[in-house]
Amino acid sequence: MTEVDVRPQPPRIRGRRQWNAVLPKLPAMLMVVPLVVVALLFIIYPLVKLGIDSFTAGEGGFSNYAAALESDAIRNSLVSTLTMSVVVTVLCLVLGGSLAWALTKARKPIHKGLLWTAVLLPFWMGVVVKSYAWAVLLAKNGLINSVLTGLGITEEPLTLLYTPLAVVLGMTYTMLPYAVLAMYPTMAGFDKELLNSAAVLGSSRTGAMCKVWLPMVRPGLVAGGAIVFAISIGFYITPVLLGGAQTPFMATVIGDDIFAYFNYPRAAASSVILLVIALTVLIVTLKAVGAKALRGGLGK
Amino acid sequence: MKRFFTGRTKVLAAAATLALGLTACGGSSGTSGAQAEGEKPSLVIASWGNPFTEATQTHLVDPFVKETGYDVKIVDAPGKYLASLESQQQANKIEWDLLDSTSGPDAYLAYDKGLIDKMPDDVKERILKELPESAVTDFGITWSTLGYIIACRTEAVQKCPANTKEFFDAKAFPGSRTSIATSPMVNLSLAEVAAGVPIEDLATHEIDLDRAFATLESIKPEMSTFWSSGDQNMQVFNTGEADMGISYSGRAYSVDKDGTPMSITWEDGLYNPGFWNVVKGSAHSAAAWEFVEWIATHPEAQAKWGEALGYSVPHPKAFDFISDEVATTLADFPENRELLGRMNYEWYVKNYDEVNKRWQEFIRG
Repeated sequence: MTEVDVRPQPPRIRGRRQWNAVLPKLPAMLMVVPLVVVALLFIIYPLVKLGIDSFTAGEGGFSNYAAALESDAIRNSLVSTLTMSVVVTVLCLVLGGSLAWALTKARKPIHKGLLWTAVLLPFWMGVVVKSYAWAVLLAKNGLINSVLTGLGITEEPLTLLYTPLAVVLGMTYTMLPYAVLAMYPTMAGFDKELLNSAAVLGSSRTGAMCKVWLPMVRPGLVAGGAIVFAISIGFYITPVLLGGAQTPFMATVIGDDIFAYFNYPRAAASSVILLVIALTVLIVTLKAVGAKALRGGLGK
Repeated sequence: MKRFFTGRTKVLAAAATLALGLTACGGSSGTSGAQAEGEKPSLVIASWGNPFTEATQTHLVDPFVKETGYDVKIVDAPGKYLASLESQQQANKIEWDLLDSTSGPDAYLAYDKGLIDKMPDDVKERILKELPESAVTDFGITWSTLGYIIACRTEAVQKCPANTKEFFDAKAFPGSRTSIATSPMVNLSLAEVAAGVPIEDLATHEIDLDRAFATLESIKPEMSTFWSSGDQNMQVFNTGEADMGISYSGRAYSVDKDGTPMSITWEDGLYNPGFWNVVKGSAHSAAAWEFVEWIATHPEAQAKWGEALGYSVPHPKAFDFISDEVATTLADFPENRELLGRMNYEWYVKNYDEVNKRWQEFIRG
């Protein structure tokens, strides 16, 4: 007869290996596979295909690029897209930089809350809603013109809607949160005591900002600017709704080529041109300020 | 809801002539609808979204389904017919059978590119017994026709232009202007009328591009904006961006009804038919043509559809069922129609690349 041990037993542990938060290689790789497949299929493949098409569709070779660059409409659009995007970038850096700095200085929760709300509000609205809001403000009989003519500042209502100005305003409004979020981490990481130190050592306020603050937050500014610019040159809906058909913008022209004029080869070439510009800006920035600053702007 | 039609036709006349020839030479063959027995055909219609889809469903599809028992489904694809058809054809997977209210130029182009089907001779023969020749082409029946007309905000200017020539005369008729961005033919044709081409010759007139663009350049400073959708068409008048402009007829009446008083003149306007088409390669093309034929032969259903949307329909008898109030705003209303010119579509299809290139450069240059 065997005796049954009636004493409490320690819980039995199944299997030998201890649970570990770090995955072994194989399962880790397997878990990443779906993401890689999705990225390859939906991002890399279309981009590569677009690149190939731009050289093989139509007459092939560089003819599509030649056709794109020979067209006055596309050249004008490219120039005005780049110009407007630069203006938007500068505005976003100035406004967004001030906002980001203010955010790091705000002490009272109510101030912080209001500032963050103001920064993030554009994120919570669809781009069409945002654009229509601007259209309402900028129209001939809109709020801005009513105030201007009501106060007698201008006699005739100004033409604001369907102009490059309207596009720049709408784009700046949309891109402001990106700029703030890109610059906030660097500014938050800036040790404000350094400004006091500069003052103690005899620097003026402006001098301290220029010689101490600016060099230290510069990576954030550059990264924020690059991100704003790269996203800006691809805008589509805002230029359509606020610029109208007559304000040239690359994405609008590409859209026309695909949907209205069925000139897919030229549209592919124009898209690649835009893509190369955006990538160049981002790569140069990456080299200049490093991946960390750039990631800050992408919300990491 | 939008629609952008632009359309026109000289080709209509040519097509009709051709049609006559065809029917004369051999009205062929028996009935259509050779579906496998016992199997109900199912049709997919591409439409423009509401209110179009709803009107087509209620006034055309529902009664047709009741009569035939077919299975009919509508998908929304506003403004994307040609691009979608091209990709469906490339993928070798035709998903649609019918196109509701294809815009005029799109229909001619689609036929030129082999994206839509030729109307079978027997169907055409029967439809021609009901509809006027001008409403039947090789590739479909006209539908949801509208006019490009001159609309003008009476509160914004002292005097509104009464015809196209006056519209292009910025000195005598000051005011900011608007026009359609997506249809070079409308703008070029009207510019030619302003330059002295009689409206009734437009259908066969070969546009002198240099002269037409010079005319357009002359009022470009007054062009505060070009609209590219029906919503924008109304918006530029509602918000005061434009004092006068080339407008879809239906949209101009809507603006007026919504409280911005408009003067609307049909004089020297352009007649712009849309079309019902059958997609080339449709697996149910016989049933699809049966549906087109059903529509063509049911004026009362046409009337209800037209009254619901304010777009014109092809059957002359349909006007017996439409209230006068609505009828007078439609492009096929005889008094309106006789004022309208038709665009030279054959010429456009041939000169497509040149026209579009120059137009794009004009508008964005």
